[in-house]
Amino acid sequence: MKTKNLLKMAALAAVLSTGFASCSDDDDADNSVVNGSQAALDQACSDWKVARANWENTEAFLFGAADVYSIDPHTDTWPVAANDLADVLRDGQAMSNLDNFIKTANSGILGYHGLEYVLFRQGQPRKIDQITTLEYNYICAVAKDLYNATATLEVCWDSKESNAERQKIAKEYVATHLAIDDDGNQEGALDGFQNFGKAFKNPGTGDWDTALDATLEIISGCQDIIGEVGQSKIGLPYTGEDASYIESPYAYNSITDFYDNIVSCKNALYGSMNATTANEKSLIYFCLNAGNSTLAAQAKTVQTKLDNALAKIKAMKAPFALYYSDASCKVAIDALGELDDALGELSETLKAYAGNETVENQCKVINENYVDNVIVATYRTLANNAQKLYQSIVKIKN
Amino acid sequence: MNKLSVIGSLLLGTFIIVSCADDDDAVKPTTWEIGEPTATDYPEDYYAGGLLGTTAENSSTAFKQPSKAVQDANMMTAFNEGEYLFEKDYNTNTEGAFHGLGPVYVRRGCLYCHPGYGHGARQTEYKADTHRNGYLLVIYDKTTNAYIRSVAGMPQTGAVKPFKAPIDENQIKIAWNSYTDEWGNRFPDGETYALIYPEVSIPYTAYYAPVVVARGGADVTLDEAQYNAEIGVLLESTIGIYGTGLTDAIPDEDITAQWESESKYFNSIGKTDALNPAMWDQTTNTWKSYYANSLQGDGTKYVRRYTYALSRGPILDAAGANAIWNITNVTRSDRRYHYLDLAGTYYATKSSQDPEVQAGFTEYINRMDPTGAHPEWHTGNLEKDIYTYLTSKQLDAEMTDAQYKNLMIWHRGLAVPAARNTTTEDFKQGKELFTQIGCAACHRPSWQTGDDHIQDPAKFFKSDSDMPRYPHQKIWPYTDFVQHRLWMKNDIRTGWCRTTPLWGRGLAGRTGSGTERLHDCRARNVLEAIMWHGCKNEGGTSDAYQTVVKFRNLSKKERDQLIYFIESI
Repeated sequence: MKTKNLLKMAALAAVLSTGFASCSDDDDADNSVVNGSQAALDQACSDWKVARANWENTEAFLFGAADVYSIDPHTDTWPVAANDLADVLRDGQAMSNLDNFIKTANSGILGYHGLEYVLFRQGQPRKIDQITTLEYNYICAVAKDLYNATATLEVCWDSKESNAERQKIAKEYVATHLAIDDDGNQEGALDGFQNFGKAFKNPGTGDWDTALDATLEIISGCQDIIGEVGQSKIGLPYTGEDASYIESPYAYNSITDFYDNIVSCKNALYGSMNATTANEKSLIYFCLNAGNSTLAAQAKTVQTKLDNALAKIKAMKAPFALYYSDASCKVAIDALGELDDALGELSETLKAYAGNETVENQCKVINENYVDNVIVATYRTLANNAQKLYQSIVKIKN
Repeated sequence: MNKLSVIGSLLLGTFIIVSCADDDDAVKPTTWEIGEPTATDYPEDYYAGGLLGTTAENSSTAFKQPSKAVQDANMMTAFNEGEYLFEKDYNTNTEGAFHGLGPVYVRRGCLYCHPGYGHGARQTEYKADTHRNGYLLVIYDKTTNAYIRSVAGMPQTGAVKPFKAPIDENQIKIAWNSYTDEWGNRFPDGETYALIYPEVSIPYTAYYAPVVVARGGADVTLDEAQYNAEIGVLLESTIGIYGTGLTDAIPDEDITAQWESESKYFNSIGKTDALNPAMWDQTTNTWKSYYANSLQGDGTKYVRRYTYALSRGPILDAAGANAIWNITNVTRSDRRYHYLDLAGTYYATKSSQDPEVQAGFTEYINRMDPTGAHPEWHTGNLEKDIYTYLTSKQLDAEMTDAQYKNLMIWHRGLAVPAARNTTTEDFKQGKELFTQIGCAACHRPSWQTGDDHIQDPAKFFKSDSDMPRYPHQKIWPYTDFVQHRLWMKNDIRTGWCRTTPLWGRGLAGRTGSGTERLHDCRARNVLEAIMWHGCKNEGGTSDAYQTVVKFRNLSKKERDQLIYFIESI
């Protein structure tokens, strides 16, 4: 199984080489190697990993802007359509108008994995003398687009509208990346722009009728990614249902991705970025201290299972691209399943308090904190680091 | 996703309010006293998918949930694999995950058209790579109502180099026009609303191959003037996937009984053309047409129940089973051929003679078949090789049988969200009005599933143990599975449209699906959808006309209650 998977990755790499080989034959496209430094490339790879971790930290809240504006597929589609990428590199028209081309291009050649494919091989930065000028131009444009996408996420959730420069980016992004908004309006960018942060904080103004509805969405967002990590990202290769599906294989980043996904859940439930304890405005704090023993016990179980799941992912044998059938994977899958169950039980109990004024009032506090100190804070960090990644990719060329 | 929400055992209520510290208190409390919740008995229509097929999840992941039947059958791993196949894009790589896209395609993957697993969203342009564009182009001969022969029934606008798109999507135009109904878009109490409908145009120059239609048993090629005068273009949007396993479990004879009952009723009031004569014979009260698959299957006849056009029977050979092949052109063991134009020759002929395609074909085919396992594609006679490849019935399978099976387990395993707000007064009033003014006559609220022995017209699946099953459930899809006519401006092709299930639609916004309703997303909300049911000036009188008249005469509060009910089911 392992050998087969490695061969498949080699085959993917070969596709790109084929593309290059033929580009000079076809249209005399620039096949030159970029004049750059290995140190700068290494720095870009390092920054890719930081921005990647930030992205994985957002996966407990993929609803709202990431979904409605299709930013999730646009930035995180896997696998890379390597053959299409090779085609683009030898498509003079596309390469001369990259910024616009990328706005509507096939998402299989964009985002994190598009960058990863050009930057990494076998878990290491590529050699600078393997990067062509065309590839360099291409990743500059993709990184810029990635930054714009992440800035859009931040702005779409920022109920305080605090960053004018990114507001501009977001509105331009929404207007140019989408054919139409939900109401079908095309007249200008503003019509398509929604503030999900305001909707989440103010029940009845958007997709969430009550504050409790929105709070339950916090749990559901966690369950969504916990299920995906356990049952699909780890589970499908491990069970042999689909061994060819392993994300981030070029950077050997899979286990880090899984871990960061669950950190995202911890942040969401504990009410802040890099949370170690549940703050007073968090969902878990409320459940522990709400005066109901069932809820408190369930919240406690969630905490235990959360830490256990993180520990079991950390203990998986690395790299996952090579060791996806190791027994440690099954241990992590089971731990994630238990966490999912624990959250399901907590959610069921909370749901039964619909209409309870105390619960509704505190849910509003939880939601406000969640938007400001989890979602916006995480997206802001992401956008900052995506911007840094873009800048360091530009600097690869001397 | 993928977490079973257990329901039915612990559904608790809402009435305990134990106050915390005074709201005015400047210091926030760090503890609360919320007490114990009390149990509430939910009405049976809360369980939209019955006890085996309902999820209590009503968040953004509401349409993605597995049914209890999936877990009972120990099929969660398969379900998750199926979900992945649904969620990811296919690509033009020749190996590895999700390879096999093309040579031409409608979309790269499923989610483009089923955002949030639900309905497509309204568009003002047609782009295959636009997420949430759930439209299929419907290109038909206005003189026969049949699809044109020279593009696919679901026409493609994407192609893998060196091949070219059958239709250049950049030339497609979608205009949205305002419509004024016979009441001037105004209720008797003064409330107003707006209606819009799409006008789609594809110029003759957008077609790669000649435009050909079937007339009098022969294929006829149209010139530009004929094309402009005789060819119509419409849009059809996707609907949600959840719950289709449950409606598959309704016995054929019960659907037949529904048609029979409506047929007799319409006959009794002298409306002898009320049912689609292509489907049903109102004079004999019997089916005129069944679904059968003689290509993969043995031609056994099944009752039709899926798609607007009722083009499909049992779910295992219905829209999803077809789409995973024909939308992406990813082959599988029982479909080792490409989905091309309806006639199967025009696209291949044009491509084979195209110098630019010929110039790129050798590189393409060497990549697709590097070992030369199909020597008939490598003879060196490019025109012949291209034609042979495109029309081959011996392509290698790109999707494994296990993957296909898992996709269908996922498809049949998707639960329906429980109805919301069922204990509120507005819901109860709206529900009463729904029946009282006649909505329920076509949007039949509930059905009973049968033994649910699986049926697969393609004979790929043979055993009950292959799939999650839903025997003897009371389900609430709100459809009669019968086709009716609304006689709207720029209506659906043929005018006949199967009553669309209403369950779950109120969650469309939250799940990221298109919130618009009706077959081409022309209704931007429930109110507009209802009012589009009231046409009588576009060639006929809508089957729902009298119901809309009654709706108009309800008070504002009652109209709102009815809409609230529809958004809640």
